[in-house]
Amino acid sequence: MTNKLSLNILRLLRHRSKSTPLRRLEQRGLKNVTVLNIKDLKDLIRDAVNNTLRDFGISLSPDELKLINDRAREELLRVMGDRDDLKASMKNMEMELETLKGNFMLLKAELEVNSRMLESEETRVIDQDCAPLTHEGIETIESSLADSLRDLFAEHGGNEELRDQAILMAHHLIDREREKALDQAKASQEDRIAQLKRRIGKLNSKLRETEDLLTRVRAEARAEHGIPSEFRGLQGLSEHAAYYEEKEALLREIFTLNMDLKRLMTEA
Amino acid sequence: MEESKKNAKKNPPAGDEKTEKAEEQGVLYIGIDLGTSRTSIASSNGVRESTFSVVGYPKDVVSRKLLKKPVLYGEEAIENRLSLDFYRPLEKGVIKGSDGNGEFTKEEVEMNLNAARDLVKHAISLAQPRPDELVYGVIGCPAQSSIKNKSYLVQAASEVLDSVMICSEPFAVAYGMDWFTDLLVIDIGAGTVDLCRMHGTLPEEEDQLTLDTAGDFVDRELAGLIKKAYPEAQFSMNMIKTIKEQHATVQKQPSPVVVEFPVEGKPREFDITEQMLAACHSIVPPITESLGKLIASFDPEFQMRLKDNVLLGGGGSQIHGLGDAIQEDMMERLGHGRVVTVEEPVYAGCNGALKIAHDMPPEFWEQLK
Repeated sequence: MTNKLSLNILRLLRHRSKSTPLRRLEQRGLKNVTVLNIKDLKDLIRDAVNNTLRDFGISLSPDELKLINDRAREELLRVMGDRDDLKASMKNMEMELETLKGNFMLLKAELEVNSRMLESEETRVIDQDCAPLTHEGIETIESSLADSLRDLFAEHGGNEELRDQAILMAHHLIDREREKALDQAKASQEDRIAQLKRRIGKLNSKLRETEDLLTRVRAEARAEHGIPSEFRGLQGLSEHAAYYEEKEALLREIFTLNMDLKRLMTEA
Repeated sequence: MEESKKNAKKNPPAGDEKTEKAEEQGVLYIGIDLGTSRTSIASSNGVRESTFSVVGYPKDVVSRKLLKKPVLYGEEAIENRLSLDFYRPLEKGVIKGSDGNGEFTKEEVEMNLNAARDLVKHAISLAQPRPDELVYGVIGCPAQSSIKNKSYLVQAASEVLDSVMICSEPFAVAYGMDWFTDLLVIDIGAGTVDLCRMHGTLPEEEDQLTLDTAGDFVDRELAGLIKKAYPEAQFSMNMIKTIKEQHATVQKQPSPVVVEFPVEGKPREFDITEQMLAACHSIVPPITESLGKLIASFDPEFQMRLKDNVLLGGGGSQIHGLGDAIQEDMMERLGHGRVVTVEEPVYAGCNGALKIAHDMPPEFWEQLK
């Protein structure tokens, strides 16, 4: 095996291991610990590969054996790397999940506030009390009134009829300005309602997207949760196992007793 | 995970499809040692965990909000026990009240069953199984566990395992060490000491003995002796248990065991070496006596082999020098003895159960689903 591969495995093992005080080991009942040298690990991998090939009756040249051994060690590196990636990915997903949850709650709150404002705005009746004359409006009235009165007095030279007409004109001008103010207030309300509706539409859309993302991240987190077994299929006792016959008989007895228990449970 | 398991149970694949499906997906094997004091698991994804066999439920809404969990286990439950309805659901290796002996009210039995069920589920979750993998588990039970007790455990485990089996705990220890014949297994737990005679087949009732002079017994003995010697010392059973786990010994020349106890609120040191020795040694004679019974009722031609092969395991085997003390007592009472202590007492049982799970033929697992 190349030195680089050796170092990578050593580094990865060190990275994945954690130190434990001797006292803690003693408390757990461990009186002796097995120490594995990196060289021993290399030898173990080599022996595992060679024994497997021999059991299958496969004979290879020294170069081919060396190649397979190196590939086995690389595979170990990859599997251990995959598991590290899996753990890192899990952690990232958990953080993403928390952020999404926070965003989702904020969006919901904002949507609620805006919906209440819209409801309030839609039910508000625009009347004269909502359309007070502005300072500009009053100035306009005064200016128009002054002009109109001057014209009028100039036309009639001042008498009762004139006075009445003046008053009528004043009322007419004020009404006209009031109507203008009311129209403006109603237009403002419509603008505001339209703006709120647009904002609510955007918030709903964002909420749906966040909800979908949350569902997807949760599903991914669930799918990747857990540590995979080293076995990709059902196992069972190997024919080459030590004490095969004794074990086979014992396992059958255990199974029989458990089947009896299952039957008793069903009957109960 | 529970959802996927329920779905798998609703629509199980049939016949060869099942084996094919299992071959496509991962299979997680779990060995579980459900002890009175500690529960340990070992699984085929490399996870090994051990936790105290205690369960706690928040007492009220306030503690529920504070603890942020509906149920706590192990050390976390012990630390917060004042805010919890606290349960140690197993006693002498069985679920409290499961044998219907009238010692507990119906409500207490129900609560202990719930706690035991939650404990089993929690133990399995410690293995961190993937939802897309089959999970097959073997649970080690005390040697003389009743059918009822075994049924409760199987029911609880079936909610989270695809298939589950029960086996005798001492047998699991022996299987894990590839030792099947001419062997006496001593499994010292908190609630019970299980002795099991192995002779090539599954041990039967006459091959097994259970004593209640186990870890909890040592705690009570130690507490009584300390109280007698130092009546002014204040302590709780939890403190005694912790001290025992740190200093338990039967060695002839042990290091002094000096501990602190409060006396009227002020800590003071006490030398409890003699008390510790006496309390720990108190379990030796009953063990040797029971070994004698198992040996005496065996074929005389093979009795010497049994005396020569005594395997000591369980949490209690961590008492310093216990193997030698039992061996010495056997020499005196039985003329001969050789005691070997397992290397990993906390995990020997679940390691053996895991090995059984792995070796069990696939078709047996399928039939038990």
